[in-house]
Amino acid sequence: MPLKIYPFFIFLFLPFASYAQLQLAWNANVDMELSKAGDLSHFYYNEIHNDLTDWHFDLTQANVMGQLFLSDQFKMSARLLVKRKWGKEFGQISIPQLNLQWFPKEKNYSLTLGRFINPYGSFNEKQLSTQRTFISIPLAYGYYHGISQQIGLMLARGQYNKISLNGEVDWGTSTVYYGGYVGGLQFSWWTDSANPTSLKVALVNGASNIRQVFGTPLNVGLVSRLKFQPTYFWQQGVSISLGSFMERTENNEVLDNLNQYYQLLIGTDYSLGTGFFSFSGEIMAAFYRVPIYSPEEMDFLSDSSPLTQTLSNISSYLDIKYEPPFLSGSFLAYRLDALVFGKIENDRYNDEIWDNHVLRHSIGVGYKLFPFLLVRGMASTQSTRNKPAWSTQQRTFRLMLTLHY
Amino acid sequence: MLNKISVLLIVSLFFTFPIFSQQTGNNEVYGQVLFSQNTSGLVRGSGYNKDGTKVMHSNDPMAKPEKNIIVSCHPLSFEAELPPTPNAYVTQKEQTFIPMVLPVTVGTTVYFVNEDQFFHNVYSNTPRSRFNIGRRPPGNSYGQKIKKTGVVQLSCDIHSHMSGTVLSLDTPYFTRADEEGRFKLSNLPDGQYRLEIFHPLYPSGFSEIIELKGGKSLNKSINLNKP
Repeated sequence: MPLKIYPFFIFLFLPFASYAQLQLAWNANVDMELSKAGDLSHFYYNEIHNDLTDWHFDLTQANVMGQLFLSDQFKMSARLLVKRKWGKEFGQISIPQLNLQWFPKEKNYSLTLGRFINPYGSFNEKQLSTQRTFISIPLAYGYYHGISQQIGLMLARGQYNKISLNGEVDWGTSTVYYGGYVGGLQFSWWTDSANPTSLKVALVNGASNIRQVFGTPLNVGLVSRLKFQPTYFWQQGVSISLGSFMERTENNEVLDNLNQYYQLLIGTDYSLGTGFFSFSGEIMAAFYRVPIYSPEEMDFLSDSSPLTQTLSNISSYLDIKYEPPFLSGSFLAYRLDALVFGKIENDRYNDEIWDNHVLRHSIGVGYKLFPFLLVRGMASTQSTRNKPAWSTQQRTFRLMLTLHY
Repeated sequence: MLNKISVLLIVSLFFTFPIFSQQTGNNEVYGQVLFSQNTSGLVRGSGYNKDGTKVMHSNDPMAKPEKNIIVSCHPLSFEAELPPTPNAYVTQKEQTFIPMVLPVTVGTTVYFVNEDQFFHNVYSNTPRSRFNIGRRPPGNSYGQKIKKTGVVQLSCDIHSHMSGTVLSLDTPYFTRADEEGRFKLSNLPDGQYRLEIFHPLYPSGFSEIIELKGGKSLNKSINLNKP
């Protein structure tokens, strides 16, 4: 969202203020990282930029979060973020969150207007590194696959022979946008019962894989999540997201009605625990309707009009975490992460899969040195179908210090 | 023989008299802690508002800051006995630590009771007072001995908005002020003390040296808003 739009929102929200009760509650955090990774690492494969594969230490993220309590029924939430652009140079400024929330008195529902956390799944809720076990994000959120917001399916993306558009390589998209925010209107409902249940329904500006916002055409999406608790040690969520995601550029002028291309996500997330162990994760299936771009012909496949293709993939991760009782504030963790792609059901492609399956193993440790200082370390290795040599060349080692207030 | 015993008793009484003289007395400190209820302005947040829904919070009076002001007198001129504080319980109910602040003498075992219908955890990353009791099912009670003095911050790693405090004290002379901030500490032996106020919203608190002797009744009104 362009920064110049934000003052407009702030003026829009001011009439809700009861100035006698104005209170601004704020927090901040800063992440610093030391990393080393295999030679074929890249931001879109394993979050380590290809220019930074040697030992590298730098800031990765700085945040200031604020909640302005306008009255007992209205609240504004905002987050100012400075991060590395494409995982490389630190200094990209954005305001990923800015919204107004209305909590009617003694009611179990609320409305949120503006830019807020995408209600899809459970990982989007973990926006800050203090809320995350691992430094890296799951493949479903961080691994870019061969669907472009400009040209739809692009098979060459997985071949290390990139498709360049307007002088820049198009990296494709991740299944769910790692930034984790959407713009629109959200309705939330919850129970105060012994077994809490909550429901969120949001009308948003596109599918959950969308990165570019306020583009052309105006994309529309619907996201919903139901969260419930079958028993005291088990929380379960069920999510669905449907929306369009393609953006009009000079590279897709031959395509009519970009809103016909969509992403449908259906998934479930879980969290179980006992004693000092916890198990959590997500499973999601993604379905796409996209045009097919041929890298050989540098054009869209067409008959009388551009062909469309239905594609699918499944992604899943499981986090196992152990917190040793003899060393409070520490943890050991393991993550198994997989991304599996479906076949292209088109004669021309002979039942090929549309991107290479990925399997990643990660181990992590963490320790809260002080109440304001968290240190975490992790190592990961990933194997990619059809690219066995990549397994050693996309390993990562990351050590992160997080200061928070 | 009897005379010898009498002499020994008199001599021993002579030596113990200075100690008893400091620990006798019926002094009291009473007064009121004044503070502003207005929480307008810039404050530290309770964490990132991750999901946009209201978090569960108990309406129990003991979960409110004004019911969790602790007044304590710390002897400076003698050493007081520190018996464990009886009934040292912190419940976890409606995703809230109740009471918000539990004062105990150092060495007391504090019991954490899960009264919700879901898992809770209690941990503290306070330096020198770290502990983690793990995830505990509904109805579970777990005792944790508090070994060091000072403020022990409590958290739950399942519900990050939960925050509580165990105030571990090196004195048996403490009390909880009422919601108006009024307090009274009685039966204080003669001696010099450090009077301390702990308020969950005023981390700097209050501290002052006082002298009590001969059944003194000291009235102290303390305004926490004044620097």
